[in-house]
This record gives sequence, structure tokens and C-alpha cells, in this order.
Amino acid sequence: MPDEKRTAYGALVDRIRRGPGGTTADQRAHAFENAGVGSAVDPLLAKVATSPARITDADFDAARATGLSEDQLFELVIASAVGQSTRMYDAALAALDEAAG
Amino acid sequence: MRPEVLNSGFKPATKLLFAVIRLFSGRPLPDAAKLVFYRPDFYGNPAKRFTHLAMRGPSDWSVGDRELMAAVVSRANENAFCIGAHTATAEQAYADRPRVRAVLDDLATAPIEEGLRATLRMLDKLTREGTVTAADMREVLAAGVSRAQVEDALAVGAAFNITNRLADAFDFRVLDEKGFAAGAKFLLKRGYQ
Repeated sequence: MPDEKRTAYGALVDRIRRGPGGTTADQRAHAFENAGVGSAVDPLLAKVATSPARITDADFDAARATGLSEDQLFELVIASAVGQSTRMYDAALAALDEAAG
Repeated sequence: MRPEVLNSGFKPATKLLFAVIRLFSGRPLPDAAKLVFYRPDFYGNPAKRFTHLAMRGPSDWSVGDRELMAAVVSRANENAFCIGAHTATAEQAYADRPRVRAVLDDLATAPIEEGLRATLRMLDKLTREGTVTAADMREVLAAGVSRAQVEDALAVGAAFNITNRLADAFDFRVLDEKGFAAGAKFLLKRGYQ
């Protein structure tokens, strides 16, 4: 029987990456993977993934200056956060699999 | 919160709900709660379902244990809002403030079960370093923690490694002690759904 929590997590990831939105699925995939969406928005998204406590208003100002709407930034920030969490979750589950044999 | 759409972009019915909550509770809704009302089909609804399962779903960990895990993950991420919220919720869940304070002061010497200590240590490392090894997991299992319990703890970690990031990115307003205590009471009564 599939684990209910992992199934719910998968549904969250699927919604963020592939559901309808104001950004394209490709843009959200790049934010999710921390792989670069565009030069002015990447510093904000990289901080979401690796150093969120250092995010400032200036990071949002720079991202908005690219022409992205606040709703689009909302989606990309969430995609970045969920992506980083997913990498950590997957790495830990793989370590558990290896340890448990 | 930032960007501005998270302050002013709610539908009229949602704004009315916020006003009613403020009227009856005497406090504005915390930003963590407001966030899940914004375009809930995109993030709030699937996030609430997963977080509620992780924090209140079936598990051999108690609610207090899981709230303590959330506090430890939040501390590793240095997120003041979530540290305050889940420290308060763990304290109320256990009805034991010294236990929670001891863990947050010094996990190595806190008077808690060895399995919980090993699990909290693993979650702290995962959060700070972004990964853990099979050797780290063997230490947790050797402390008497079951595989299912480790999986449950990792679900808590996943929920708060998302929420902490969003709290920083969207700049959640940090509450005072009474605000966190009121939020904790709500979370223990209603959970995350």
C-alpha cells in the first residue's frame, strides 16, 4: 500500500510543477531544480533554495524588474522551496534505504 | 508579507473571513495561515494536506515529538517565525516547557529518549547540510527507531524545509509570545488542514 504521506507530497510536487499557473511548466521546472529561470530572478530563487534567511526586498525588486508579475514570482518562489525540500527528502530516503538494506 | 499581492490580493470573501477571525480572536491571522488562503489551488490546499498528514496523521511519534522536530528543523534554518510557532506548540503538546527548552539549548544533554535524540540529530544535519548518509541513518536505527518512524520524521522535515523557506521569502511577521501561544492552541485543536 503506498505511503499516504509520500503520496500527498507527490501530489504537492505535481501540482507545483505541472498544474496550471501564470508561469510555464518549464519555468517552474527550472525554479524547482534551481537551474536558472532568468538572470535577474535567479539570485532570489537561489537564495530560496540555499540561504532563505538572506532574502531581502531588493531581491524581489530586482526580480520584478524583469517584468514578472507578483503572482508569477509567488509561483517561482514556491517551486524553488519545494524543489530544495524534495532533493533533501529524496536524499534522506535513499540513505534510509541503503541503511535498512 | 512580500510581495504586496500577499497582503492585498485576497478575494473579498477571504478578506471578510480574516476580519471575522480578528474580531473574535482579538488577533490578526498569522502570516503562515494567510499564505495558504492565497490561490489555495496552487499551494495552500496540497500543502495543507501533506503537512497535516505529517504532523497529525498516523505515527508512532507523538504530536509533541513532531512539533519538536518542526522546531529543531526551523532552528537549523534560522527561521524565527517557525521556531517561535513550533517551540510554543511542542511546549503545549507535551505540557512540558523545560523538556522543549532543554532540547533547543543542548540536544546532546537534554533528558529525552535516545531514539528521539538520534532522530532530531539526523534532521538537524539534513537541514543544515542538505543531505545525510547511510551511516547517519544506521545511527538512528541503532537507537531503536523503526524505519516507519524515520520516514515519518523525514515527512516532518520535508514540510518544514518548505515552510521555513517560504516564511523567509515572504517575510512572515514574527509574533509575540502571546501570539505564538494562541497559534499553538489553534494548531493543537485543529491541526494544519
